[in-house]
Amino acid sequence: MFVGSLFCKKRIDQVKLKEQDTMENKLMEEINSINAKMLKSYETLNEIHEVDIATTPKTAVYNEDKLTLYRYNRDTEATYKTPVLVVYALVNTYKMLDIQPDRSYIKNLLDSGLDIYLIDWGNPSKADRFVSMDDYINGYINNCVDFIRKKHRLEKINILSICQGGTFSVIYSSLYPNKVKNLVTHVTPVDFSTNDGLLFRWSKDMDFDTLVDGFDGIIPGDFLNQGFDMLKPMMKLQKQQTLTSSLDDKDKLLNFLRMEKWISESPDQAGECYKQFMKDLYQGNKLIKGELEVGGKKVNLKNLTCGLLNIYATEDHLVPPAATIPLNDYVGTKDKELYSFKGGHIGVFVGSRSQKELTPAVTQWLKKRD
Amino acid sequence: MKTNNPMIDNMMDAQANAMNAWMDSAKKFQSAFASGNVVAESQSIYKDMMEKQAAMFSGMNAGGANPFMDHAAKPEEFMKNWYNQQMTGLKQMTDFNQSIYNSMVNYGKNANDYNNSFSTMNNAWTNIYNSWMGSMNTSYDTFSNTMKNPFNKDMFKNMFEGSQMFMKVQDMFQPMMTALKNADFSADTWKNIYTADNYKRMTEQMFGSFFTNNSLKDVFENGTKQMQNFFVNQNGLGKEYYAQMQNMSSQFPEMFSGNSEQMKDLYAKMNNVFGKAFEPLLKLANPGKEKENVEATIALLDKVTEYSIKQSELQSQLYKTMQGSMETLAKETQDKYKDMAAGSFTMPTPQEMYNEWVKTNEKTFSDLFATDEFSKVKAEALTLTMDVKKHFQKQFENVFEQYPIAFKSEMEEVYKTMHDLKKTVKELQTKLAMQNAASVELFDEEKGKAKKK
Repeated sequence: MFVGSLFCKKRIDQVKLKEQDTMENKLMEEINSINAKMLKSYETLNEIHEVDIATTPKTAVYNEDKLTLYRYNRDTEATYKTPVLVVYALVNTYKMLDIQPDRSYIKNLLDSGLDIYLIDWGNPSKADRFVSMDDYINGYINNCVDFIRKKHRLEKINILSICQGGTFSVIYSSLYPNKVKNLVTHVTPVDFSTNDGLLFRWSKDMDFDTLVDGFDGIIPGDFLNQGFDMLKPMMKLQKQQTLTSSLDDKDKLLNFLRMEKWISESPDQAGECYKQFMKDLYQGNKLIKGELEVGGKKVNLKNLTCGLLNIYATEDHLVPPAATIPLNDYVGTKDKELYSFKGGHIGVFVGSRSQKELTPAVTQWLKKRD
Repeated sequence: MKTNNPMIDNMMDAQANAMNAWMDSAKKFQSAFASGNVVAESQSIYKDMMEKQAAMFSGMNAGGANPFMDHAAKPEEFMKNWYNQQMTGLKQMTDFNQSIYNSMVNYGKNANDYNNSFSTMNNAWTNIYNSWMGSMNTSYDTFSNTMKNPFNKDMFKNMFEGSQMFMKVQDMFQPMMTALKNADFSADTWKNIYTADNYKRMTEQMFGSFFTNNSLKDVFENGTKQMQNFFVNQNGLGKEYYAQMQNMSSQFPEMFSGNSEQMKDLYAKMNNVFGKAFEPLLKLANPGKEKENVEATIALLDKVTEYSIKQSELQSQLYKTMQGSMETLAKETQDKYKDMAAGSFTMPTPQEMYNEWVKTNEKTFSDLFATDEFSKVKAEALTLTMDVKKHFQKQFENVFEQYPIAFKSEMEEVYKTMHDLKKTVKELQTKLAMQNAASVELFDEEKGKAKKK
């Protein structure tokens, strides 16, 4: 009996050791595989000398302070009569629109026959801390629009706008209806009353006067990126972890590096403009309420009378659809359309669906109104 | 897998050999445990392993290839780190196997005995992990020094950090999986065994930006130093008060302990000291810049204390969430593998465990971030950070007032003037351009009229 129980115990121990051994093997294999991939990544990364983004050729045609207005080079005459001004957000850079030749929203629009101008806001320094929404909208955007109007001898031009650049463009089009023929907005926040997105939720509690002052009048791009990272807390870790599986594929690695480079190039924000944007819009929701004033001019959305194509992304965690869709209910124009894009905030511009579906939809909409 | 790069090939071979040798020795240890000769055999197995490692690396050097090309000094450093890593790992592995053996010996005994042996095993795994990561960190750091492109170097670092978190998760899970296999696992046991340190470590790695204690300590130190100088200058008037301040300083580390209650107590004590002790004392001091500075320093310390409390609340929320997430995961894992006794248990891969961990954390942290409570505490902590910074800058300006330095507040005036002037010039330019255009139009019109005449 005693010998029998000892024998049983030994057998159980042996089975357990075998299972333990299998588990350790799995972990060791995994560790070995990760290290092998890390070593391989070193080799692949060393082979990559430059990570180029925004390579579609363009020419600087107008400068003002830190701003540069570019015109994209065309080999052939544009097939559209009305040129397009692209207005990007002050957050991050326009380069995401031209992240790589086979995933370039800009290149696709250009290939469709459009004459494209684009505003590069530049990188504000401390000397720009007092640059306000008035300067951006009544100053910079208006001057760029006037430059293009004059150049093409046209009364009105088209504006294609992105995110915060869309909000600026909505305000601009309401203030200067005689200068805008058509407005295309992408993932543009206008109704800030929603708490669907965390940014919208958090901004309600923040003291932006103290924040801007504390950052010496310039909001660091890194600070904003930290906030964006928190919207999907595990995404960064997951991204780096899944990357190890594609380290031996140079093209995949380059795709990843281009996106990382774009994220790393995050310009700082002029404090005065940031403050008004956050207080009047995120906290006060003044645009929708008809209470917003920019440079002493009251913004009335009913004055937005140009054609409007409002594009939102169904899975957008930065600018949720609830902040975008209501625009069409408040504007004065009757020529308005809502376009639902299945994807996220960035997918609108770099996803495969964007190349296949969105570009044709936008260019056809503009063609009908050219 | 050959890469045509002698460095990579050598490293890959060394890595594979090291792992094989490690596994080989681990198996020998295990059979020694099963046969009951662990004590007698472990010494020779360990010696054998050491020799294999040494031979492996000396073989690598004999290959003659300089894997680091023009960085001649680096290979030795890298190899040394690599070798140390393997050796430390081996030692830890022996300890780990010893703990498995102990666990086996304790099989069938009461829960307390089991928990003790489980804890030992957990510690052994943590040691293996720490040793592994410590030496890997150094090795990869040396490695990345040879990378020329700074952007790629950063990427390499990020990837390494990503895999580090992956390893850390394995570190957390391994004892749990061992217990599951032994059919002795319960979520409560796991919860009891895991210490707050483990949660803390992982939370800090994930949300590094919320944990800025070092800079705060600097602020405190500078502040207290300045107060000391003041009282020394006041002919030793504040000697006993400075002693009291020093006592307080020794208590400051508690403020960063993550315990809100403890910090609130400390805050109350500080207010008491400042309000009741320093204030009457300050009335005795001569009015002037120096007195203003000390008053400003007290205000700064007050702000820092408020900030510390708020920051502690925020950190506490993160720690608790991480802990909750781990507990949820333990419970879910237990439920998932409850049929293991019936023999239907399939061991998940480390990647699967990691994915599960990511999924659970994504949900729990997103839920936390979406609460009013988190939003408010985060906003308050941020505001207080900026407030502290502002007070500190003001202090700086007071101290350096006598020197020919342009201060932030003065530069702001300059920036404002520049901005306003630019705006005025632009408006005037626009008006001028419009006037010119109108003049040309008028001129053309009059010219046309003259022609008609």
